[in-house]
Amino acid sequence: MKKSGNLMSSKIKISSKDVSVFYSQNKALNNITFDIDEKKVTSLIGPSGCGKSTFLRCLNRMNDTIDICKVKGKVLIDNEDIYAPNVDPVLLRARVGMVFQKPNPFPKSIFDNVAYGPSIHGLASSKDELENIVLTSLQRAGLYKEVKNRLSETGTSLSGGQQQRLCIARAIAVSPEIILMDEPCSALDPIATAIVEELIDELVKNYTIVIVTHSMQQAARVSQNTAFFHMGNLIEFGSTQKIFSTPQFKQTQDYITGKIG
Amino acid sequence: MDKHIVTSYDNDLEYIKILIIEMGVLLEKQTFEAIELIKLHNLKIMPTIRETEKKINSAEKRIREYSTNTLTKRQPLADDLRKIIVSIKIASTLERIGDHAENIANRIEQAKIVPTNYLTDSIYRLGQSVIKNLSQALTAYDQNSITLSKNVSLEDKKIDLLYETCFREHLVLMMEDNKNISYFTQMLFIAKELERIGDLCKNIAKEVSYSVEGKIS
Ligand SMILES: Nc1ncnc2c1ncn2[C@@H]1O[C@H](COP(=O)(O)OP(=O)(O)O)[C@@H](O)[C@H]1O
Ligand SMILES: [Mg+2]
Repeated sequence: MKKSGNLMSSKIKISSKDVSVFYSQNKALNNITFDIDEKKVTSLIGPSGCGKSTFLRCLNRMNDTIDICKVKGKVLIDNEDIYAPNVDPVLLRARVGMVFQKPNPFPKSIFDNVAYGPSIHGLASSKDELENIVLTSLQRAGLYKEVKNRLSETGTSLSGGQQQRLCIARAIAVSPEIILMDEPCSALDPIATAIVEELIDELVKNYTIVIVTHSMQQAARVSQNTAFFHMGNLIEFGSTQKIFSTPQFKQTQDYITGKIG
Repeated sequence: MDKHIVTSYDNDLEYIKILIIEMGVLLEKQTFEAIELIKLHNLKIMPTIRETEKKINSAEKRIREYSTNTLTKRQPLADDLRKIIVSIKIASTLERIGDHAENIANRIEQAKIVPTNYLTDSIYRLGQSVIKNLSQALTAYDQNSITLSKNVSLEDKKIDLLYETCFREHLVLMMEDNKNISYFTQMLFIAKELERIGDLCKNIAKEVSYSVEGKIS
């Protein structure tokens, strides 16, 4: 793996050190080592099954929930090992929120969808404070104007793009530092996609974002750094501009230009 | 060359290349005819030159349209994207070379009678070097050759020297024979047009390097 391009110096938020992941006997990731900058968007690209989602799940220990899954190596967030025995995975997941491919609002009201996280984590000491968190989160997710008069309707009554932004609001509500997104736009139409991309541009001012995407153009538009995975290996990592204009490795080039390697 | 998964994408890129090479052939012909005019003064070919100029203009338009369309359809990245951007730039450079070639022909037409004491063929030789370099630049494009593209830049330095020699030589001629100043002035302008074509060939070569290596030199 080679680091390409001049990455502007900035604070490292997440450090993956020799991370390997096994599902029973099958190795899904092979010694992944690279750093993710704070308050930047890093995109993970690569063919299906190359381990992007697996890697993303390492960053908030979602893999712990899969019995056959074993993670080796270290993931440091702000220089602290998130796999250390004293780390509570539930609290970790509040710091590292996740948005999935298919919008998955709870079958509850729009308000409750967003209020759920802050309530269970005890982030609000009063009803007013909770309401304040919900409204701010909806605003930050760019959804407030569209739903302010229907907060008690169910989340599933929204359009796909709105549901995805509701899930983003839900992730933001627990004041995470990092937001992981696994193909957040693949179920959305171009307009809803553009709105979510615009939102990502806005969110990155306050959060570190790691996004898995199958659209090269989307990676080029939203991210500052890009990591290319292939068959469980990290092939190339560098500035997005560099990866999409002059990639260093033939495998990267073949993948992003749609060639048969 | 590795193939794209979508075959018609390869066809699009291949077709753009063919269009450029065809346009290049038109330019080699046009520049050659203009330079031969310097020596032969056979003004009968002027209509052919004007007709070729029109073909050159529409060739550029065609390349621009096809390339734009391919950009829209394929949203190319990396080397593919560079290839298309470079095609558009080379087509526009070739079109400008065409303008200079036509200017040369027009100036010969205006210059009319060659002074009897005009014995030098330095401008014709300058023209020969320029056309050789144009041909080399187009081959560099066809073969994606960094070596050839570097040669083009080296040759252009020699062309610049040849141009300066022509220039001084014609200044002396003007001073010695002031009855034919207008003829010599046309010749000086022609030398300048040739020198410009030389520079444009160098630009084509630079685009080839960018297309192959991804570095802007
Ligand atoms: N829950 C699971 N159980 C067993 N194998 C899995 C599981 N999740 C993913 N894998 C395997 O791990 C590899 C990487 O998968 P994944 O991380 O989903 O790739 P991507 O997101 O890049 O498409 C694949 O071979 C996949 O079959
Ligand atoms: Mg996945």
